[in-house]
Amino acid sequence: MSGFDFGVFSVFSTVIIIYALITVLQKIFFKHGNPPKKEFDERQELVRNRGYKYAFYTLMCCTILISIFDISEEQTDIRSLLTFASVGLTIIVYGAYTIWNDGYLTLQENPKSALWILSIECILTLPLGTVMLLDGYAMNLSLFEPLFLLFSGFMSLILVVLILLKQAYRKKTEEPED
Amino acid sequence: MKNLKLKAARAALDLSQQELADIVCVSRQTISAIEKGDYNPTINLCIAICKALGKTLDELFWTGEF
Repeated sequence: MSGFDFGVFSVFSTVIIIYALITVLQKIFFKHGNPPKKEFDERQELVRNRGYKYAFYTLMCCTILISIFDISEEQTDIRSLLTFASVGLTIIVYGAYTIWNDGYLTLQENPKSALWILSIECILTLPLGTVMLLDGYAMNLSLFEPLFLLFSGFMSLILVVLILLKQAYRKKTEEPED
Repeated sequence: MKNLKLKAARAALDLSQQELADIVCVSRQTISAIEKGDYNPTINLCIAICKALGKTLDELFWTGEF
């Protein structure tokens, strides 16, 4: 198993474990309490469905572009970079569309808590990824780890900026209710 | 096209967009979008809004235009 394959395997298995953990915790949490409330309303679901569609088109275009360049199996770092870039771009397209149309956060979430979580993720991942890259970590080992951290950090940063921009735009343009 | 009838009915009951949204289990932005005419709600949501405001579908959503 090459370094690239091992990296991809580690990330996917970590994501699956985290997802399973969240699902189990949700089931335990809601076992004796009230059933969970509706997370998204019908307009938000419509927005999210459109967001998925645009994200899929983005990923498809990126995959086609990457395949055009025909990168060899040995160039694992460039493959890692392009794979992360395309996945990152896909998530950003989805996030941007849903945030701008108020479909990103559930009915129970408020923008402040989402901003905090994304900011903490940004603070944890961006400096660490930069340090790993600058320390020459990448010179000896794969670029996979620092790139993963940097892309996660940049995605969180972009989502934070988008949420702030949307809030500012709403304050500026929204007419009074009554 | 703006739904002024919905806005008027909500204002008559002295409800804010957020309060109406909480009653019918949608986001405030969805109520705002319906009032501004940016979103066409499903029949289920129309019925829920009508029940919350004590109006009929005709009174709130019938425009008489095709």
